[in-house]
Amino acid sequence: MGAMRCHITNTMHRIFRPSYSFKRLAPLIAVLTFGSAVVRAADDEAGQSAGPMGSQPGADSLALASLPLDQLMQVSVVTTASKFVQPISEAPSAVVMVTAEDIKDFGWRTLSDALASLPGLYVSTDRNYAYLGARGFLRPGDYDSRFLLLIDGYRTNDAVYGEAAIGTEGLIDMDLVERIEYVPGPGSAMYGSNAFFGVINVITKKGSAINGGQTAVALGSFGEKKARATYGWHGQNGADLVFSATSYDRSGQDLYYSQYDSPNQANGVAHGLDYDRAQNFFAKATYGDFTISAAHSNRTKGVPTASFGAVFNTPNSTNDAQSFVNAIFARGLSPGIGISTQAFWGRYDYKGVGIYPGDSPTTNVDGDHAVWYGGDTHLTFSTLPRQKIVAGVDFQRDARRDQYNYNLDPYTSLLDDKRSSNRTGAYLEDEIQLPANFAINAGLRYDWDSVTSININPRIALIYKVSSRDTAKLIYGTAFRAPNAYELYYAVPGSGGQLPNPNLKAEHIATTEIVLEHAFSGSARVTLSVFHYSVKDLISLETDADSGMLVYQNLDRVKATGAELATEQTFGDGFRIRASYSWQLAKDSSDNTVLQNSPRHLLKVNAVMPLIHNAARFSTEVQCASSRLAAGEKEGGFCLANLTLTSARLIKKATVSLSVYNAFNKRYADPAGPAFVQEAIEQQSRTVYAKMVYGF
Amino acid sequence: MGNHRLKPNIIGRCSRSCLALALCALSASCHGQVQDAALKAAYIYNFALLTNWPASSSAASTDFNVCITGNPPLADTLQKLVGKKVGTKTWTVYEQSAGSRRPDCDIVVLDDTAMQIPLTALNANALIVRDAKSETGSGAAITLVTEGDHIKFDVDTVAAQRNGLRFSSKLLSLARTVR
Repeated sequence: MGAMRCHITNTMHRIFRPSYSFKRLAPLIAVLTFGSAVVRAADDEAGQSAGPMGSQPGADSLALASLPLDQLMQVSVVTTASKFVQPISEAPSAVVMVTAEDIKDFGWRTLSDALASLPGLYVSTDRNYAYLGARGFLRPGDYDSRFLLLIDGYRTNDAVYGEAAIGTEGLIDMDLVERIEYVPGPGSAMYGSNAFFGVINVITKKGSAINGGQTAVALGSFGEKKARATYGWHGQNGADLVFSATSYDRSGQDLYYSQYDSPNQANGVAHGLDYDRAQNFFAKATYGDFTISAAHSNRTKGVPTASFGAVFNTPNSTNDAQSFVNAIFARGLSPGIGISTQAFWGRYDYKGVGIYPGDSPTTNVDGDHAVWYGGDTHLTFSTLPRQKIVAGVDFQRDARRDQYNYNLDPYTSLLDDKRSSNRTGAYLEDEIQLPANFAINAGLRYDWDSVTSININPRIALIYKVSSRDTAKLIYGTAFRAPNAYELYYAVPGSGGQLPNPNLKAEHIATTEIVLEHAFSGSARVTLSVFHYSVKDLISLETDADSGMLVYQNLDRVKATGAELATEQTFGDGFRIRASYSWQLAKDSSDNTVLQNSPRHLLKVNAVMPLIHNAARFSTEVQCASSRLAAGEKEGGFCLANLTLTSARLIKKATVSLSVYNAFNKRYADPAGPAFVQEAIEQQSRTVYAKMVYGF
Repeated sequence: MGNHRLKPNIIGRCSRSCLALALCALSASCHGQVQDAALKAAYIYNFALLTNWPASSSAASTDFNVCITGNPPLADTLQKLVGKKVGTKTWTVYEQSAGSRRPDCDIVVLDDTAMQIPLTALNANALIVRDAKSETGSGAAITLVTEGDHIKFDVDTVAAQRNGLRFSSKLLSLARTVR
C-alpha cells in the first residue's frame, strides 16, 4: 500500500503496454528536488568507515559505493521540505492498489481477503462462494458478475455465470500475485460488459521475483493445510519463467443452523459438510515481446447450508474447475507507437451434487460447461504533442454456454440447454493535456453481442491540478452488463424451480464522481471521493406472480449516493498505515427502500509495524461494517480484527508467519440470498494460521 | 543491526537526525539516510560491477567512461568516485552537453529531459541508465526510481541485449521489475 501511487500500469489501460510507451495513467508522478539537507553517515555494517556526510559528501559517496547493492537498497533517502509528490493524477478514477508485500504482511489467503481491505468494498460469504459488494451494492444471486476480474490482462469472467472467482475457487495462489489494482466505477468504456461496479486487475509475479525454487507450507484451524511448490527463473533478453502448483485442503467444522433444529435433521447440525479442497496450477513464460500464461484450478466445497432447498445434513457439494491460456505479443512499431495483441482461450465447468426432497429424496446434479476464446489488438500512440491515444478492437466467441440439470436415479433430465454467442467491441481512449493545469481523459467503447445487440459507453474525466499537491477530478461514465446465460436460460421445473427469461435486456449504470486528492510532504496522502450511481434495468431475481417460480427480470431502478475518505502514510522504515471510511446509501427507487446487504458505514484500518530492528513485522487489520438488511431481518454491525506476525529472519532463507483471523472471535452473519432458508449465514469464528515460505 | 558512528555534535544540533534515531531505536533496519544523488551514484557504480560488456567493447581503453548529460547533483557525486576500479579499468566521468557526445561511453546516464535523444545514436555498447523522475518513456536498460524514501530500479533485459550487455543474476534478482 505504500507503493499505491506507483505503477498503475495495467488496469486503466489495456494489457501489457510496452514499457517504452508512456505510462499514461500513473496517477501520481513524483517530482523530486533535492535540497541541501543531509544527514548521517551511511550504515557501516559492511565495515566501512563512514563519516558524517554533511561535511564530507565525497567521503560519503565513496563509502556508499563500497556497499554491495543489496545493502544500498536498504538505505533511505532524505526527504526534505522541497521533495514533494506531485499529484498529476491522470487516472480517471480513484485507483487503489495492494502489493505482494501487503499480501504477505496481512496474511491474505484469497483475493476476497485483499479486496475486503479496500475503500468501499465488502465481502459476504455463504460457506461456499465469496461475494463482493461495492458502494452499497451486493446483489443476492450474483456471482460477482458485475466486477471484471483480469489476470495479467486476461478476462476471467466465465461465459455462463460471468463469475469473478475471488474465494478459494479462485485461479491464482495469492503468493504468486505481484499486485492487485482496483479501479472503482464503470469500466465499460474500456472493457465492455461486466466492468459494471469496478475492474480488478491481478498482476502475477515474474520469475525474477521468485528467483529459484520456493516451497510454502501452512497449517490452520479446522484442519486447514496448504502446500505450494514454485520455480522462477529469469535470463537475458526478457526470458522469464514461472511454474507453480498448490494444494489446499480444509476439513472445516460442524455447523449449527437453528432453522433446521429438529430431531430428524440432526438437531440443526450439519456434520462434515464444510470441507474445502482445491488445486491450482500456474505457468508463465516470457521471451522478448511474447508472454504466454496458463492456469488451472479445481475446487470442491462441501455445502453445509442446505441451500437451494436441499435436504439438510446430507452430502452436498459444488465443484468449480477453471482453465485459461493467454498469449500476448507487445512491441514498439516506431517511436511513440506500440502494438499489443492478445489471444486467449478459457474454460469453466461447474457441477453441484445434492440431495433434494421428494417422494423419496433424490440426488440431483446441476452444472454447466463454458468454453470461450478470443483476441484483442490495440495500438498506443504518443506521437502527438499533449495527447496519448489508445485504440483497439476485441472479439470473443462464447463457444459453449451449456447448462444441465438431472436427477440421478432414476435418470431424469430436467435441463439440457446448449447455447453459444459472440461479442465484439471497439474502443478509443484519449488523454489530452490542456492549458492551465487541466487534462481530459476520455474513453468511448462500442460493444455488440448476439444477445443484447449494441451498447455504447463513454467515460470522461476532467482533471484539474489545483496545486502541486492537490488534484481535483470530475468523472462521468456509464457501464453495462449483458445478461449471462444463467439469468437468460436456466430453468428447472417444480416448486422452488426457475423460469428462463430469454428476453432480458442489458442492465445499465451511470455514475458521477468527484475525487479530491491531497499529497502531504513525504509519502502521506488523502483522497476524498463523492459519488452518485444510477442503475436502470437491474437484473434481479424475482418470484413470478403466476407460477410462484423464480425468474430473472429487468426490474429494479436503484440509486446510490455516498462518500469515501481514504488516507495512507508510510513513515520511518517500514511503518505503513492505510485507513478509509465510507458512507453509502443505496435505495430502490420504486419503493424508496434501502437495498439488502448494503451497510451504511464501512471503516477500515490496515497497519504494519516493524519490530526488533525489522526482524519481524506485525500487521493489524480492522474492518467494520454497520448493520445490513437481510430479506426480513436486520443483521447487526460488526468489527473484525485480523493480526499477522511475519519474520524473514527467524529461519535462514525462510519467511514464517502466524495469523489470527477474527482475533476477538466476533460473531456476525452475512445476509443470504433467496436460495437460503436462513436469513443470514453466520461467519467464520476465530482461526489461527501458521505459514512458512522457504526459498532455495 | 545498525552500529552508528554519529558525531555527537551532529546529533545535538540536528533534530531531524534525532527523530530518525528515535525511529531507528523503535524499529527499522537503521541504515543511514543519505542524499539521493550520493546513493544513486553508488547504485550506478554497482551496476557497472554487475554488468558484462561484450569483449570487443573498447577493450584497449584503460578508462571506464561514465557519461552524463545534465543532472548536476548526480554528476557531482559520480565525479566523487573517479579513480575507483571497474575490473581493470578506472572510473572516469564525462559531463557532456546535449550537442557533443562521446562515442566511447561505457555507461550513459540520462535524466528525463534527455529522453528525446535517439538511443541508437549513442555508443552501441553503452549501459544506459535513466534517472526517472516521472513515468514517461524508457528505452534504458536500467531505470532508477524513487519509491517512498528508497531507491529502486527496473531492468529491461531486452534493451540491454540490444547493446550486447548481460546482467548478473544478482542484479536481476534485486530489480523491482525485470522485463
